[in-house]
Amino acid sequence: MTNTIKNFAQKLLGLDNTRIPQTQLTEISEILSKHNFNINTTDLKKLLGLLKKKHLVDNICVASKNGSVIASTANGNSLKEAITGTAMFNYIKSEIPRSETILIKSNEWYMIMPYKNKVFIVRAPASLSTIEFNALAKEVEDRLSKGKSF
Amino acid sequence: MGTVYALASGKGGVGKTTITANLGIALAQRGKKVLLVDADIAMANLSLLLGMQSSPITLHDVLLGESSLQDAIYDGPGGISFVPSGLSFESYRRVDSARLAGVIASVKEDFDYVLLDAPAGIETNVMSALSASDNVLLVTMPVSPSIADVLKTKIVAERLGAKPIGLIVNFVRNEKGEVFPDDIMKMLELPIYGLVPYDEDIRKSFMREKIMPTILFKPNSKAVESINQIAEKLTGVATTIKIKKQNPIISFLNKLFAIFKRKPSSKKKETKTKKTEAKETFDEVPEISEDSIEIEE
Repeated sequence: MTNTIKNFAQKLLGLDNTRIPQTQLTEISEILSKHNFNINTTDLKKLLGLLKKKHLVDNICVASKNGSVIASTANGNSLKEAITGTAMFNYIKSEIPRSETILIKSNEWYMIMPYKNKVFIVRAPASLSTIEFNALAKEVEDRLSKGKSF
Repeated sequence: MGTVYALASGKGGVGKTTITANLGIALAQRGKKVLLVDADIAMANLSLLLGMQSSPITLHDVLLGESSLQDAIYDGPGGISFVPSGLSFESYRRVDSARLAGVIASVKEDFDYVLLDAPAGIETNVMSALSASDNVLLVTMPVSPSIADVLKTKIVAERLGAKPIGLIVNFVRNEKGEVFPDDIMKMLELPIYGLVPYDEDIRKSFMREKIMPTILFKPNSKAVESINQIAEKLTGVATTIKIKKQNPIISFLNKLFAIFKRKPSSKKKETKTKKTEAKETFDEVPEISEDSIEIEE
C-alpha cells in the first residue's frame, strides 16, 4: 500500500526517473552487426576464412582420410597439418575404435574430427563443443557436396 | 513431419518454461499433436510446472542410452505428450547432451509440434537444444540485460545452423523504462510472435497445492490470451497482438479497490491513447499472411 502511494506520488510530482537506456541499446545493436556472416561464396578458401571468423577459430584444415589436403586456411604448412592430423586420428581410432573427436590442449587447442570421409583439423584458442564442431564441418561439407565451382 | 521449436533466451528467469508449458497446451487445444521436451538437462523444472516430477524414465536415461525415447514419453496435462528431464545430479554428470538432436529426430514424425524448453546460457546443453531444433523462438523481457543475452543466443543459434524465427517478449508491463517492441525487433532483426503481459495469475500458478499451467485453471487471463495468439500464429492463423495499457490513475484506483474487494481487479477499462504500429514482414514466416502487431498504450 505504501509503495503504491509512493509510486503514485512520484508520478504526480514527476519524480519517476526510469527511462530507456539508449546508450546500452546502441551498443547491443552493434554486437549483432559484427556477427553477421554471409558465407555464400563459391571460393572454398574464402569460405573457410569466413567460417574461421564465424566460429572464432584460428585455423581450419580439411583433409581426406589418407592425409591429402582438400582445403586449408593455413599458409604454407597445410600439408604438415593434414598429414599429422590424419595420422593422429587414424592412430587414436585404431586404439579406441569408438572415438569421435580428438582434443589436444597445448598452448592452444587442436581438435580433430572425422565427418563424411573427411578429417577436419581445427586450431583454436578455446575448445569447440562437438556440437559446434559438427556445425562447422556440416557447413563445409554442404558446400563441397553441392559441387560448387571451387 | 513435425517441426521442432526450441524456446531459448540466454538469460534465466524470463519465463521460457512457463511459456513452453502454456504454449504446448494451447497448440494441443487446437487439435495438434504436441510433444514438450524438458531440454534443460541440468536444471529441469518443466516437469514441476506440469506436475509430473516423479516420472520413472527421463531424458537422462534416454541420453545415457539406457532407455528409448518412446519409453520416456508421458501423457501430460491438456492433451500434450511430455518428456521430463531427470532431477538426479549423478545422471546429469554422465549425460552426453550432444545426442539430443538424434533422439529428437527419431520422434519428429509422430508429432505436429515438438517444443524444447532450452536451458539458459550459451553453454553445451543450450547448444544441444538449439542444434536439435528446426526453428528457434527467443524469449526475452523488454529490458536491456535480457535483450543483450538473447542476442548472444541468436548468434550462437545461427552459428549452429539453427534458425531463429521470432521473439516472444514476456513480462510486458508497459512501464516507461521498457524497450519498445519495435525497437527490440529492429535490434534483433526478428519479428515478434507475441507480447506476453506481466500477469499475477502466472505467478500464482506456482503457488498452488497442485501446480499446473495457467492456461488450465485461468484460461481467460491476460498472459494466456497472448499465448493463445502465439499458438495461432504458429499454426498459421493471422492474428493481431494487442497490449492494452491503463492510465496510471485508473490503475492505482483499481489496485486500491482490489485491496477492499480482496480479489484481483478486472482490467476491462481501456484508455484512449495514441496508437503505434510496428509492421514487419519476414521471409522466414511463410505461412502467415498478415503479421501485424498493434500496441495500445
